[in-house]
Amino acid sequence: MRASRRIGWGVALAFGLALLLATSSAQAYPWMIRHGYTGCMPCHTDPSGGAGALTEYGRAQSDLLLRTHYGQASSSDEADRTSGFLAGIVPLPEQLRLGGDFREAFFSNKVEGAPLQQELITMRADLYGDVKVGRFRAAGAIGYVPEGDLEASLTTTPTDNVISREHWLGVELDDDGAWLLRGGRMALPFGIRMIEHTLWARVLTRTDLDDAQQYGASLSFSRDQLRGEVMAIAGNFQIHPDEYRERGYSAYVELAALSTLAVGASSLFTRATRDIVYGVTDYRYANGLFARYAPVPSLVLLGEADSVYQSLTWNGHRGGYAAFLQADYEPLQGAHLMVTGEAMNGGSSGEPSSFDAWLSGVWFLLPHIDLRLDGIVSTLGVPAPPGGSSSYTHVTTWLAQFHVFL
Amino acid sequence: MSASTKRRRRRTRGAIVAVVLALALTGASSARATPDFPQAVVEDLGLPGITIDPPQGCKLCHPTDSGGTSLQPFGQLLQQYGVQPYDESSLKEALSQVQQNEPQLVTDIEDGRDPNQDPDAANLHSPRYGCALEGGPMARSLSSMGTFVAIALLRSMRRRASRAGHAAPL
Amino acid sequence: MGGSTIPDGERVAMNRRQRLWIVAISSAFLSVSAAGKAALSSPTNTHVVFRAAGPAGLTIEGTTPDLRATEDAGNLVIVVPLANLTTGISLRDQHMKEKYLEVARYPDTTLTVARSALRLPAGGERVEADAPGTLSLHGQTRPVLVHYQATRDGDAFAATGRFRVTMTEYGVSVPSYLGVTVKPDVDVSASFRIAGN
Repeated sequence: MRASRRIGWGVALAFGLALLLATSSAQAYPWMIRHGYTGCMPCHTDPSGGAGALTEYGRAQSDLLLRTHYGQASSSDEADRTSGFLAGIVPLPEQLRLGGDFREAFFSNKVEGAPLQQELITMRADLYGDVKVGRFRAAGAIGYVPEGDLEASLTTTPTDNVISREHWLGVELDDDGAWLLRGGRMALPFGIRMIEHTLWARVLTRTDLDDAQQYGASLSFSRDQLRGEVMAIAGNFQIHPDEYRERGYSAYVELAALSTLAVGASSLFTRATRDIVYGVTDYRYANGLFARYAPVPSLVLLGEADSVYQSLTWNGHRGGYAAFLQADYEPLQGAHLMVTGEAMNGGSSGEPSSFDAWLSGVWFLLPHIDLRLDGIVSTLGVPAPPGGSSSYTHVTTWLAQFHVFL
Repeated sequence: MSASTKRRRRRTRGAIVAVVLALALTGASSARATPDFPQAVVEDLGLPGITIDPPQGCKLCHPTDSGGTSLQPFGQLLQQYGVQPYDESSLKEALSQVQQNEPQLVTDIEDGRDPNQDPDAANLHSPRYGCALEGGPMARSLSSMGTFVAIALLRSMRRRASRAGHAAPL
Repeated sequence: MGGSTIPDGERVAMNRRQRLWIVAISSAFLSVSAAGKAALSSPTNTHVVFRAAGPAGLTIEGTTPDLRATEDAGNLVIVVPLANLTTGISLRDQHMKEKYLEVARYPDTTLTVARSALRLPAGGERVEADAPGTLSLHGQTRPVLVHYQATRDGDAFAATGRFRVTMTEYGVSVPSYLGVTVKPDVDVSASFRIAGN
């Protein structure tokens, strides 16, 4: 191993030891469209990307295209052996894909008029597996969270839970694997899958990769320039009692008009006898459009706009929206500078719209390791209290993340 | 059939579809009171008459006799037990849940005391998280199915491996 | 696309249908339109693209700007050098050119179309038709059918063309890499502009 790589691995190990504390989001990088990858299936075991283990091909691409290369490495070198599971130390049979995801973050949040809040957050500590035998597939994830992510919890305590975000069985319906039928707990097919799970488009539609997965049956397809997935939602059976479970559907379709341009649409409807947030019967609708475009290889534009409508028994109707636009600039392979703008209105009576802007930097500095820094400035609309008027609250957030994937 | 008749029937069908869609999309009216509920409470609990806020009886659940979307704690509790507007069967079911879980509140109503002043009325339920593998029939059946599938997959992998001349991968 | 993690499974998907040849054909008849043995001017605005398909909707696109057109014994001969063929990923380009197309041994690919098989547009006219030709690729020569469109603006012609190639028919191995295998049929499209004498 060359000297530069030895040093790199030393740094990586030091970071890894310091960082095995956290939890976080999956690896969902829709800006891979800059390399002509309009679909997700070649690299991800989840047909819509983001969730679950990487394929062997995906691991190779993570080394070849994702991270920064140093020293005398040529751009046409083969993928480093360390891109494999556990840095290639453990060779796996062809049918088995394993992975792990560890993300720790330092979170600093200042709400106008409130004390500064700072804490270390374990964002993700998950292990994934995917088995493929012939056309049959089985996949699952298991992890640990110190707090939060209760909707993915397997254990029943308020904190320190064992969680499972996804677990499903599936069968490929054709020789190409273009059609996949699955049943189990899966990420909802809706919009752009991104690791920024706190984007309002993900929060308002309840379609993030954190703990918004649902049980159900899903059919996905990816053929030529068209891909999509439709899921019948049976509910989250890790929540009790049954009246809290949402039933309905979620779906998206995306067309790759060019190898660097894809546009899509999403739709979702659920009904819960007792909504997990509002505690009342809730009919929830979300519909939206999204697009991904790489006008030049170093720049990717991602955008999504969703409308959300809810009918809450005894509490009226509310119609809202959430939208974002993100520009991802990669001046040097592995180093990303991102600017994101968001707008949102939850639809409550008298609620003014909220806006925010993100400035983010991500560096895939070594195999399996990346660093991220986000600065977010938000102006949150506050509905008018009875007899009062609406107002705004300003929030400034800093988030520094360290991520290791196995 | 004349053209005008066809047009009329099309308009009627369109109107019916629109109404059905509107009802489906809105679910249920959430901004109007359910005026029969106070009497339904009397019948379900076997009361001699409306004991709270007679003669209207709306303040058992609502802050005012106008009803509407605002709810008192007791109204919220019934709501959590699944009461649907204009659905007296759901009210009956919710009251039986209250009788089972918060019997003191039913005693308050029977004695003419406002249950909204009783701390038990604030006993709003929260969801429970995690898998009840020890007790849930769904969890048991999923677990059995998963075990069966896992065994089938392992056997299939071993057969394939032995055909290929390798040791079993797992 | 590194394959070092597996013993011998690394392959790169490249060729779909070599529409490169279609471009060639287009430029060929453009020169013919100039009448008789009129010399062909160098094509401009050339854009040659091939598309290969992998599993589950994977699409690989390759391009080259290189194209030469000559006329020989009543035939239009379009030559596309493969040295600058690129898919945007260096390792994949390397595998494509070294392992599959063997560009060191077969540096060019050539499309030959009889001039008499081409229909050229008059001024302001648009022509769309098919023309039979032969394609030489990877040391093999086989007949092909080219679908082309051409328009004429004064002395200049703008042409686009489409072509389908099954790489295995030319002795090119089916690329496969870490479980991702490309389909043998490759679509090629090309466009360019040329001025005749």
